[in-house]
Amino acid sequence: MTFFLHIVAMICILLFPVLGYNLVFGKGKIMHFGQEAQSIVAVYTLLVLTTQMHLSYGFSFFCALLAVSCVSLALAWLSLRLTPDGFGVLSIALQLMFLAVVLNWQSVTRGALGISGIPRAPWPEAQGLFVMIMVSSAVLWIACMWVIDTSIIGRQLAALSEHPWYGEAQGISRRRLHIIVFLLSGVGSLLSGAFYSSYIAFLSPSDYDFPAMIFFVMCVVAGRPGSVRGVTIATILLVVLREGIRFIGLPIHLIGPVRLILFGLILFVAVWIRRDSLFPRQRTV
Amino acid sequence: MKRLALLTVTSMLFLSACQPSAPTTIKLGYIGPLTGDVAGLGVDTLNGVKLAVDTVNATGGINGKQVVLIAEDGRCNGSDSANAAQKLVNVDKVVAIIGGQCSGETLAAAPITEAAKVILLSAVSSSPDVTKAGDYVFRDYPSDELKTTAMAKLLTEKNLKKVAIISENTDFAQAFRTSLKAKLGAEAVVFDETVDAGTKDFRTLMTRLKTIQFDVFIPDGNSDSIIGPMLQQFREAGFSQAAVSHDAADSVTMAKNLPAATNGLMVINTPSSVNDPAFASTFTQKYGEPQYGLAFAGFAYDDANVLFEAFKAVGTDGTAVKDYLYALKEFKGVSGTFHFDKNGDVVGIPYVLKQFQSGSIVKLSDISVD
Repeated sequence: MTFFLHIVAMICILLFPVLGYNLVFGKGKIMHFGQEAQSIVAVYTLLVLTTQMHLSYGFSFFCALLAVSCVSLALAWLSLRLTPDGFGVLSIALQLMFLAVVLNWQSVTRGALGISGIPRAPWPEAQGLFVMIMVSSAVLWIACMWVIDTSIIGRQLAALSEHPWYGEAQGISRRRLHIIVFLLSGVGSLLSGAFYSSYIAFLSPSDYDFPAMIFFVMCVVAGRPGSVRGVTIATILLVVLREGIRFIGLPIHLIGPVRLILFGLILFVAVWIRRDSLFPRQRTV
Repeated sequence: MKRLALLTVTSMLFLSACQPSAPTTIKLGYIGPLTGDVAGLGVDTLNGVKLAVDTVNATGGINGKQVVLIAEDGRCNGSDSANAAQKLVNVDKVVAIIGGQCSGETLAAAPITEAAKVILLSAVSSSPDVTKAGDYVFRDYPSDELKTTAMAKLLTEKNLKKVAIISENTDFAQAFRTSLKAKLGAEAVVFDETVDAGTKDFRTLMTRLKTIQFDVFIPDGNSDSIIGPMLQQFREAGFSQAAVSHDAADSVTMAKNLPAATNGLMVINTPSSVNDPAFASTFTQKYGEPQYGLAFAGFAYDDANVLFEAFKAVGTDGTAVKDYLYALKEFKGVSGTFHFDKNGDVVGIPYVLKQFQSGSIVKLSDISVD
């Protein structure tokens, strides 16, 4: 039961940034690969203020929200001014830059050593109760994403992603939409980081390395880019699968490499199934 | 989506069918990096534990029960280690875990094992943070605090006053760097650079190093795959100064592959199986040459054996084992005779100074840090 709750917690923690990212990358087709840049800024601002400077959690959370909003606005601004491929490269560079700052500003972030002994407070100590809060928050987040997806914002975003010029000719503000979706994805990153650090009680920069970003892309691609339901289900299935692989009764000396190969193969099959949404064919008349 | 769901459900059914169950056994968990850059370290420590488990099972097990080892890949990061610990504690119901090996693994697994009152005994974690990780957290590997004390003492004895250090940006190497700088004082470290994890090209830094007056070079990497190229490029740049490193450089592979570049390199490490030469031959016979070093396998072997001794004495209850380990007067392992202090840190493991000499590693002297 405890392990089941743990898996539920890990799914919820992932759903916040993945669904936010789905709005940007899946629905808006914005070539953004720097979601973890937002996560790094959000979670490190929160934890440096609470654990290193001993400020109150509420105030630190507010500061983290401000910090991640600034990064999100910068990303939105850049996405409006660069070509899609240029922005894709720049977003990766931003993630690497923030990671480098965190790794090297050791007097503040403790660098590669990470931050250990993070208190569970203000969240409840009991795992069941904490997971319930995470599940409730995740459900609210999914509902929020679904409302946005089906609202005028979602439709405008889809229209812009299909053809930016026609969309803008219809009066859709590209700037407004990019700001909204990047801010939402930033909030998703902050919520995820706040829950994750309190839950694991340890924060390491290696958790925000590029493989984590690849997992986000996998969830969006496997679930059908833009679909809130599909991406939610894909996230759940991929986390369950990733942890389920631990249950294979392999000989001990084969455990490490075989599990990785197996997970890679399963992901390959998932991408192969979804290849049409990953590389959509141009619609022709 | 339906096909993805079908794929997952089919996989899960297959995986759950593979789940072993054995109620009359003692389940022992292991967490370590079995994949990734430091997988060699995980393989060595896992083999050390396997050897101990096979040996105890061959002699009838513990109080008539066979020991079953369940290994999980912690991938040297917090997230995977936490997942592994949750599975071992709550699904497999292991009575103790040997791990993690990377300090990040241990620190992430500690809150989970602490809450479940399951012993977490690390064979390799050296970060000073592990000292305060919890009551049920132990390690038979000395903290970096001791290692850097030994190195500072050596540098003073050899009159090597000006230190140049290049560190990899990993938890292991940074913990060492931070602790060493605190011991030596800021003025002694005349060149202090950090490189990204996995960096192999140090030529730019070597060019900058040429403008610095220094007495000793300290290559501070997470593994021999970093320290090897660092040393090679250091010698290629024409430096003749002494080089001193730590346990990650104590690698037979590096000695064999880079005999010229490593010649003269001094390393400070714990002794390699000094008390039981039979361990080295049995280990090599069974698993071949260790990838990182026999010392790491030795610590893991000792971890398993000290736990087996505790199980025999007080059973497998976590609190009873914890009390037994704190009260332990001494344990004679292959790594040395040791016990644990009030924080679960090891006491009694000595340090030795070794030197690379023409493709082999030779012990020079003991270093006392008391």
